[in-house]
Amino acid sequence: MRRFVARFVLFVVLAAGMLLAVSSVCRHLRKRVLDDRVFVFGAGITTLIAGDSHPQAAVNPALLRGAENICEGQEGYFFTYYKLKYFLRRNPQITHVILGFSYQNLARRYQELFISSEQEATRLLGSYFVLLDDEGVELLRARISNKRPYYVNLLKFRYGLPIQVYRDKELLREAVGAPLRRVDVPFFGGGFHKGENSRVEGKQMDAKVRLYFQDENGMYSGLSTLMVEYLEKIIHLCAEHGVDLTLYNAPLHASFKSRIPGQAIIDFAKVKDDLLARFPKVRYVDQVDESLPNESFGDGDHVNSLGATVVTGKLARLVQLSH
Amino acid sequence: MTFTSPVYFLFWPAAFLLFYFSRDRHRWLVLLLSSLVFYATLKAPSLLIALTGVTVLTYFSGRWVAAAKTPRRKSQAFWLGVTANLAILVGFRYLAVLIEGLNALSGSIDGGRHVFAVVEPISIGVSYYSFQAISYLADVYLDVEKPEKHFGYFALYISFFPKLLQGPIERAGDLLPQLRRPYVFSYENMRSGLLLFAWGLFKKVVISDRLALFVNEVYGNVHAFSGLPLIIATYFYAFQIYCDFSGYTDMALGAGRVFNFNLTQNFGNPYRATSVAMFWRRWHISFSRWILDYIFKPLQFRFRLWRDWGTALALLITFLICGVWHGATGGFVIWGLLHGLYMSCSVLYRGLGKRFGRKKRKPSRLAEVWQTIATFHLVCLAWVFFRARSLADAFYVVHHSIADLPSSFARLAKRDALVHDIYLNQSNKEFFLAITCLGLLAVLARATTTHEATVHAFRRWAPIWLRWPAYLGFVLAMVVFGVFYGGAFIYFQF
Repeated sequence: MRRFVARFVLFVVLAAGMLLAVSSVCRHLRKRVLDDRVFVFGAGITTLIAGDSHPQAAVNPALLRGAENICEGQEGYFFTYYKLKYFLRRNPQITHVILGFSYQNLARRYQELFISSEQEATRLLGSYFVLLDDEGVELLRARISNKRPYYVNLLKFRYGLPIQVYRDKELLREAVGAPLRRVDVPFFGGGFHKGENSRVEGKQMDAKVRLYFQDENGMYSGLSTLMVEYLEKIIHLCAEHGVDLTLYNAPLHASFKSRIPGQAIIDFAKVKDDLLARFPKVRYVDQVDESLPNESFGDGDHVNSLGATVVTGKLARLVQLSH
Repeated sequence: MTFTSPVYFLFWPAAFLLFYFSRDRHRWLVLLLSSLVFYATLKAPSLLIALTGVTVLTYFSGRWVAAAKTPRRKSQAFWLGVTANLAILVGFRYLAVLIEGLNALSGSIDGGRHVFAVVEPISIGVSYYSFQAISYLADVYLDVEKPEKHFGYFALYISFFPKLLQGPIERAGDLLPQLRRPYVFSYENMRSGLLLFAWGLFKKVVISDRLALFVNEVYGNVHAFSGLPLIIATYFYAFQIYCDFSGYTDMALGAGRVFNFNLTQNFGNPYRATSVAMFWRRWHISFSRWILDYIFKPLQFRFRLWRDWGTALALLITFLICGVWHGATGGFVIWGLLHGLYMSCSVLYRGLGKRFGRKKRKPSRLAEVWQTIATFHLVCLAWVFFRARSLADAFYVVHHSIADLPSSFARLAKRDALVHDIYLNQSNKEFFLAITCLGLLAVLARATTTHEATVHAFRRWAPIWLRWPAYLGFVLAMVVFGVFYGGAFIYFQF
């Protein structure tokens, strides 16, 4: 028994030491790649476009002066808040944030699905966990139905354990001294989504409206108070950094908009009016009813690059010229 | 708690330390309580009731069988025990299905009102210990084994935690004497137990759960795929279920070995089998032995006058029951029937060969390779029905795997469908890792007959300066390449 215990303890110590050493290297590399590269933009970048796939597809930063699109598909305000927190802290030259603000951004089931559902949480936690502070981590822990992804990501991002480190392209590139590609960073999203196709189909729109706004029983799922709370946090964050905030409602196809439950539009309008009344410095740009031909839409709720050129031009006139 | 739960890594050493520091006469109690705690952590009180029911009923039935003065009484006691076990098994496995069917029949589902309360189907482990209990009763009835008088040892035989949830199904003659044996610390058993457990864990979290990423992507929505991706997903599933189940078995064997118990090896390179019959001698061996002894042999005896046709019919019925045991759905039934058909055909073909005077010769190496490939594909065809979400999905996979293969290759030739058709919408890294894992399995399958033998062969062959870095590398590989979000073991549902 003694011989076994001695060898077992020795093995555990060696294994723990090895993991500790590898973890330290991973933590160091991750910190370096995020703090010194991912979060730092050049001095010329003064405007950030943030939010989900709607502004990602609609706002072409190449058509705006000094802008960068940091949107990512399906990104809720909970995650956007933490993303902006880092970007604003590391880039004092940023003076303006254009934040996607559309009906689905406040839809309860759709947005909270990404935090509480096992499948989505597993996918998104791997991308965003690195950005979360203690409060965000605690919120996730409380809400997530399957705790395993939470603990795995905690070990990976807080303690540096090299779990599935082969997937972290940015880390591997940093380790071998290769230049950073922002598209490799999972929460960054690859910037402006330059869609070329045009497929506006009723069936697809019905499916999306169901996904965005309906609960399991096909009823309107209501307003996400969590998303409203984090939207307010974003407003405060921008105010703290002296950054102008524009809430931007990207164009929707008329047929898509007509499918959205009326209550969702009413709830959205109430939140918008309340926020604009309480935070007069926040601007709201509404392009939702922008008259665009079918060919300018990638699908019912996203413009393609053709549409993006038109709406970004108008947005530039509305926002950036006066900015 | 399962073998991959973090809390198990506290439970297992704690159970061992309690076992080690107990006196010999109390060790069964430590293991029995540990097993009950292990089962209780599944948070389903009904399962503990089922375990208690099976244990008590089988214990007393066994005693009655042995004490019966007349063959008639003996038979009555035996059948009473078997029926009680089957009632518990059917109740847990099929009650939910039955209630669902009754609700559907009464047409109340559409109205949202159920005539019968809907039951959550939880039956983890029930099949395995029920089968073990039936095998015990049969052995006592046939005077192969004497009934166990000590209730504690008997309860431990039924509920010993390493084999409780997913087998192996242990024979009384194999396990009960080991439970009674005084414990002597064995360095060798500790080492081989831990190595075997680690290898099983590797197969589950690195190989099986990685392959599951691809399989779930395709089988979750088969209509989005056609041709090659369906075939790749089916191949991957064959190895996913193998690594999942054999990984669990290795962990169970390792966990048992630490306590000096040798549990039955359940797998022996099944995909190297050159016939479906050989496949079943190498796949889920304890279950195959069970259905052979308790379903096939009695049926074959009953149909003995029909000679080969009787054997073929017995095989067909046996595998049909095997399919239904996996689940009361069309997919499982067809899976069982397919295996029954394969086996029946081989029996009839062998009979025809004998009649026409064909001599049995050792096949050439090339013929063996061909037989292995053919057997693997027959097994894969059956896996399609096992895995698909519905019969319609299964038939879609079978049809479109073949019919759409040319168009699939045409897409690949243009190189515009690599991610969708080959990587199955995963990253190329994941795909090449999966292929590397399968390559590792293939190398090991060629080298030894079982994975346990592989582990021991490495230990004997490699000197310590090579072994320890290899073990440390193995730990690191598990952390780096493990898929820790993986789901439960596939066979838990059975």
